[in-house]
Formats: sequence, C-alpha cells, structure tokens
Amino acid sequence: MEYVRAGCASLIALVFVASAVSKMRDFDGFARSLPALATVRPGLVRPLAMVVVVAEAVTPVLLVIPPVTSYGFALGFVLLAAFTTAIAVAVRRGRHAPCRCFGVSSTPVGPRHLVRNTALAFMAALGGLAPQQIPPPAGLAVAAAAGLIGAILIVSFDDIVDLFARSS
Amino acid sequence: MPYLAAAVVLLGVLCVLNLLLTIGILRRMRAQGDRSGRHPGPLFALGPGSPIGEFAAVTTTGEPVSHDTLTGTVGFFSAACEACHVMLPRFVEHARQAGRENMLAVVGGADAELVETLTPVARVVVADLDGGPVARAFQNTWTPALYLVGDDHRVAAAAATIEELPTLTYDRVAGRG
Repeated sequence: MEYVRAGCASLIALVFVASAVSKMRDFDGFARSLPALATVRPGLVRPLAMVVVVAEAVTPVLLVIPPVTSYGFALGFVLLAAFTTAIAVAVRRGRHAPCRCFGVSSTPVGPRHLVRNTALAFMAALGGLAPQQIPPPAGLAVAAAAGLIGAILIVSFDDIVDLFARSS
Repeated sequence: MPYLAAAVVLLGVLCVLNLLLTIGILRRMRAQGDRSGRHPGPLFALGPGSPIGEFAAVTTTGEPVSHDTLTGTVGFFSAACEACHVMLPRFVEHARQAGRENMLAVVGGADAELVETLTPVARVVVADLDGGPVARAFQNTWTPALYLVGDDHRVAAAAATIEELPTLTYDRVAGRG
C-alpha cells in the first residue's frame, strides 16, 4: 500500500505542477476566464485567481516532503472538490466556458471534466488514506514513474477524449 | 540482473517518450481540427450587401438600438476571448476616430472590464455569452467579429480585425473625412 501512496503523491503533485505553471504563465487569461465559470464579484476575481494558483503551487511542495504529505493530499483533495463543484454548477447552468485547467483551451467544461476531477480526487483520497511508510528507493522510483505517466495522461485528457469523441 | 534492470529502465524511458510524442501529435491534430473542422463554411454568414435581421436592444447607457437605426461599425466581443482583448486597443482607437454614435459593441457574457473600456468610446450592448439578439440578427457565431453597416442598414463589410475593415468605405458611410 505504501507504493499506492507514493504513486498517488507523484500523480497529484505533477498534475498540480502542470496546472499551476500553466496558470502562472497566463495569469491574466486565467483570471478573465473565472467569471464565466463561477459567480464571483468583479473585485474578487483576481484575489480568487491568486488563491487558486498559490494553493495549486503549494500542494506539490507539501506532497514531496514526507512529514507533511498527508496535508498535501488533503489540500489537493479540497482543491479538486472545489473545482469539481464549480464545474458541476457551471455545467448545470448551461455555461459552457472553456476550462483553463491546464492552460489555454477551447474545450468547454463538461461532464468529462467532472469524471477527470472525480478520479483525481479519488486518487488524492486513496493516497491520503494509505499507510504512511516510505517504500524502498527502487519501489519509490517505479511508483513515481507510474505517477508521471498518469499525470501526463491526465494533463492531456482533453486531447485524448477528443480523439475518441471525434472518431465516433 | 543489472542488464535486466537497465533494459527495463531504457524501455520505460522509451515508452514515456513515445507517449509524449503521441500526445504532441494529438495536440497538433486537434489544433488543426479546431481551425478547419469546427467552423465549417465562412466565418461570417452575412457578407457585403446582406440585410441585417430585425433586432432591438438597449445599450448600457439606456439608448435603444435597432436594425432601423444602426449604421457604422459593429463589433462583437465575448468574455474570456483572448483575441477580443488583443484587438481591444485598436478598436478603441478606431472608435475615437469614428465617433461614439457610429460604434456599437456587443459584449457577450459577463466581462465588466471589457464593458468599462468600451463604454466611453462606443455604445455597448451587453448580452448572453451567445451574443443575444444582435448576434442573432447578424447571424454571428464568432468573436471578435466586426461589421460595417451602411446607411441602407445593409452589411458593407465584415472582418475579423480592424485592419481588414475598409476604412475608406467607412469614412464615406459615416460621413466623415
């Protein structure tokens, strides 16, 4: 089970690194995309965007420091739950704004993002609940590599889903 | 044993590289699909000479606008539209030259910043994300989009950028030199 924890930590940390970096690179664009997704007062848009980016940047840091990994999982879970709720509300209201989850995107938010975020939140919960043991280095490396592959797939989730959605 | 481990590592690295390459190709394909597939046909349903549909709207300052009274430049903007924000300074400059009464900006979605920037130089109609009645009258589905409406209330030109808009025609239409 300690491998599960290491793998989940690697996956969640890398996903949040990708997410935070992409948002920092185009912070203004991200801030502008917020009102279309969530109901926020105009004055609070930039602070909210700032809070989201900082929280996303802190999560991977917490996850890779063994004593506080559990907090990293908890923060990641809370963020994912918040994003999922925001997307669910936006989808229910029929607002098909593009998701700036991983940088500039033209894909409007939809059920697929709910599936993706729920899966990620599940991984965060699984990692957080797994026993806290540091596995041997070789095992750690394999688990981290598995997390890396998972993270690559999650970050390019839109592209992959689109490929199959289009051909059918 | 060490050879086996090395071989597995090598294979693993190769697989990840392969995955990245595949995703790269996927992205490229998708970007091309966005350009050609999602917007079939011309960007603008109304070309030069087409009459605009009927509509009535009220601007942010309370002035009524309708298909009967509209002349000059009409710009469609929407929230979270990158190209709109890029075009905005040129649009504002153009609006200063043309005069407020010759400019109509339609802002789709909630974007207070955009409305604030446009209000001093143009009449602004705030609509839903789809553009509302004005966008329907122009059959416009794309932002940013610019239309030049002549005195006969027909479209004189349609363009995606200020530079593409024929300024000479515009000056004649607006009665300014």
